[in-house]
Amino acid sequence: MVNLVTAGRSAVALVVVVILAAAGGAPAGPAAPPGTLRIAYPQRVVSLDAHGPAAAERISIILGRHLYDTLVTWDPAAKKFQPALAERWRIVDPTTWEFQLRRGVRFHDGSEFTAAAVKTSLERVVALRGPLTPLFTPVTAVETPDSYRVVIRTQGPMGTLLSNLTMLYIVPAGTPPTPAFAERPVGTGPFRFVEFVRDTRVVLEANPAYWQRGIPKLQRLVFVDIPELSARVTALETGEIDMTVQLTPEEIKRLRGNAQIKIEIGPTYYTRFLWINPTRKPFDHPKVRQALRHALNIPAITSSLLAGIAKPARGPIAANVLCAVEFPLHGFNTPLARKLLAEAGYPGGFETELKWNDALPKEREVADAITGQLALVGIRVKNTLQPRAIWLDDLLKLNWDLNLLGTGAVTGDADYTLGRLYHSRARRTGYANPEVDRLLEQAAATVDLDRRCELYRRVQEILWTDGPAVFLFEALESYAYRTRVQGFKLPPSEIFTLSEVSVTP
Amino acid sequence: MGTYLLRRLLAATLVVWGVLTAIFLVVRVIPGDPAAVLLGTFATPDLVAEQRAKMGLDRPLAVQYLLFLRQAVAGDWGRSYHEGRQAFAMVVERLPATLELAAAAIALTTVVSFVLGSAAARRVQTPVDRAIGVFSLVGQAVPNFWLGLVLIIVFARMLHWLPSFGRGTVWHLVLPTITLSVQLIGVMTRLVRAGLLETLGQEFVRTARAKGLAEPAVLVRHVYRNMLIPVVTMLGLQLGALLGGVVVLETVFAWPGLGRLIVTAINNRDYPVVQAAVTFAALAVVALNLLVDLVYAYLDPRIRYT
Repeated sequence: MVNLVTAGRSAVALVVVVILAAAGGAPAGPAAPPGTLRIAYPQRVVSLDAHGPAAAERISIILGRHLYDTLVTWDPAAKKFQPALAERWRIVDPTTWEFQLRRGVRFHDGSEFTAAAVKTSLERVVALRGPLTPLFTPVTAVETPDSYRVVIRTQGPMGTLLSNLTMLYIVPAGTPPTPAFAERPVGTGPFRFVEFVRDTRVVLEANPAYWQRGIPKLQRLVFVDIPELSARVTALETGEIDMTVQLTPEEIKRLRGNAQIKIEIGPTYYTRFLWINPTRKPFDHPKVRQALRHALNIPAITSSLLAGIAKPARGPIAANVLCAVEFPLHGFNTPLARKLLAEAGYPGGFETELKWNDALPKEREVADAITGQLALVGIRVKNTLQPRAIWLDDLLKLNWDLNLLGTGAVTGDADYTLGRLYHSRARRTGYANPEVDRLLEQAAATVDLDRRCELYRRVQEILWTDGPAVFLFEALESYAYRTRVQGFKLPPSEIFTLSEVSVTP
Repeated sequence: MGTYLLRRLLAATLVVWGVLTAIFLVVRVIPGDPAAVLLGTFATPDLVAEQRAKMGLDRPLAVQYLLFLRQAVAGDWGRSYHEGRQAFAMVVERLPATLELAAAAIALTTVVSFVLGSAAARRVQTPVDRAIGVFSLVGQAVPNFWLGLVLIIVFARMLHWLPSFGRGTVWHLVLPTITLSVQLIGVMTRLVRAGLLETLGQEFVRTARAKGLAEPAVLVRHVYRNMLIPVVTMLGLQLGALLGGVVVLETVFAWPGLGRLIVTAINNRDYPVVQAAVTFAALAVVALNLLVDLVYAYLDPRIRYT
C-alpha cells in the first residue's frame, strides 16, 4: 500500500514537472520570421480558384488580389478605370472593345502573359458556371489578333464590361476549367502561391519579378485560419498574428486600450437591408412598405448596437459604389407609420415573420431590435433564426415575408447590386416594376458612364421610396493590426490589399 | 474465438450498412439546397438548377441511393461539392490531427485519473478523498468550450506561456489536451477509485498477500488487472467519441481535425463529405468496440466467447 501511495506521489510530481517545463520552455509570443505578415480573416478559404464556385466569396476575392492581376482596376479617388494588365483600351463600336496588353509580364510559372491568357480566363469563368459567370455571359467572342491585343465582342452594348473586368483574375493560357488548378494556382500577381493547408493556413511569398516596381514589400504573407472571433483577438494580442478584421464593437472598445494594436474603421461596398416580400399580403401595399421605413429607428441601432461597424444607409447601395446616390433618411416616426398602416387598411397592425441567419456580426441583436421596434406600431413579428443552408433555400424560393440580409457590390458598380437583385427577372424579392426593369436594361446597355449613372439615379430613387426593402445600414470594416505593420491604407471597400504593406521586425 | 470474430464482423457490417443508409437519408431530409449554398446569394435560379443536375440531385432518391451504395462498396465516396476533391481523401487528411489530440487526451486522462483515483482509494473518507471527489465532480460539470476559453485567456493572453490556437509543436497540444481531458478525468477518477476499493477488499488480494507476494506484484498482477474492465470499456467508448471529432474544441482552438470538417460540411450541405466522415467515425466506433471486447478476454481469462 505504501508503494501505491509513493507511486502516486511520484506520478503527481512528474506531471507537475512536465507542466512546469512546458510552461517555462514555451516561446512567449512566437516571433514571426522577418518580412512575414500573418493575418486571420474570418471567412474560411474554400478554394483558390480564380473563377470557380467560391470565386465571389470575399476571402477568395481578397486572396485573388494578391495572387492574380486583372486587365483594369477601378480608382475610386480619381473616379476612373486605371490600366493594369491592359495598358489602354478603346471602344471600336458599341459592341466591340479592344484592349492593348502590357508587355514583358510573366506568370509565376515563368510563362509569358499574352492575349491567349485573357481569352482562356474569359472562357474559363463562363465554362465553370460559378457565381461570376453571369458577369460575362453577354460576351459573345474573344479574339486575339496578335499576342498583345484582345478584342471582346458583346451581345449588345455592355456598359458594365470594364467594371466586370475588374473582377476577372487572369490565369495562364490553356488552363482547363477544372478544380485541379486550385491546388496550385498561378497568376501574375504580386505574391505567388506556396501552400494551402485547409482550415489551417494559406501561405504566399513575394513575386520578385512583379511588373510593378517596389511591390510587394512583404516577403511572405500568411492567411491563418481561426474561426472563433475571441480566439482571433487573443492571437492578435499575443502577437501570434499581426492583423485581423471584422471585429465587434465590444472587441474594438477593448483593443483600443492596447498600445501595441491599432484599429482603423473603413468604408465597404456592403449594405444591409430588410427585404419585404411584395408578393405576400399586406406587403403588396406600397403604404405598408412605407410604414416600415418610418417604424424603424435605424440611427439608434447603429449608434448603440453597431457602433463603429455600421452607419445608417443613405441609399440602396453603399456610398462608395459607382453611381451611388445619397438620400435623406426616412426618419423614425411612429405616428406616421401607424397612420400609413391605417390608410392601407391595417389600423391594428398584423402578424408576420422575419427570417435571418447569423452569418453577419450582431445579426441577432439587429433582428431583436427590428422585432421590438415594429411591435411599437402593431406589427407582431415572429423572429426566426435559420441555419444558412435553410435560409438560402427559403430566400431563393421567395419563401419569406421579411428577410434580413446584406450584399456587397463586388465589382464596385451599381449594376452589380441593382441589376442583379431588383430586376423582376431576378426573382429575388418578388418586386416587379416595369419602369425599374426598363431603366436597368437601358443602363446596362449604356457605355457612357455619366448617362448610366443618371439612369441608376432614377432606379435608386424608386427603390428608396417604393422598393421592396428598408435599407438599413452601410457596413463598415474594422481592421486591427499590431504596430509592426506599416503602410496599411484603408481601401474604399472591404476588399483590401497588403501589397504595399511592410512589417518591422 | 474464430466464429466469435466472424459473427462480430458480420454484425459490424450490418451496423455500417445501417449507418450508411441513415446518413444518406438524414443529409437529404434536413432542409437546405446544396446547390444554393454552393453558389451563395450570387446565384441565379438557372445556375442553381444547373448545379443541382451536375450534383445528380435532380434524380429520384432511390436512384441516388443505389448509386451511393454502389460507389461506397467500391470505396468511392464521391467528390466534395465545395472543393471538388475526393471526400474520403479529405477525411483521411484530417485524421492525424484528430488522432493526435485524442491520443494525448487519453494518455493524460489515464495517468491523472489513475493517480488521483488511487490516492482517493487509499485514503477513503479523508479530506484528500473528499477533495479529489469534488475535483472529479467539478471536472465533469465544467463545459469544455468554456474551460478552453478560460485556459486561453490565462495561459496565452495573460501569461504568454502557450500558443492560443492552431496545431504544430507540442506546445500547441497542451491547452486543447487539458481542456479535452478534464471531463474525462472526472469520470475516470471515480471509476478507478470505485474499482480499486471493490478489488482491494476481495479474497484473492488477501490470498496473494498471504502467499508472500511483494506489494507491487499484488497491485499490478491482481488488483489493477481486475479492476481494468470497466475502465477499458469507458476508455474505448470515449476514444470513439473523440475520433468522431471534438467539434466545439476544434473550433475554439482552430484545430484542423475531423470535427471541424464535419461541421463545415453539414453547414455547407456538402453531402459526400458528410457521408464519408460520419461513416468513417461509425467504422471507428465499431472497430473500437471489437477491440475492447478482445482486450476483455485478455484481461479476464474467465470471459470466453462461444
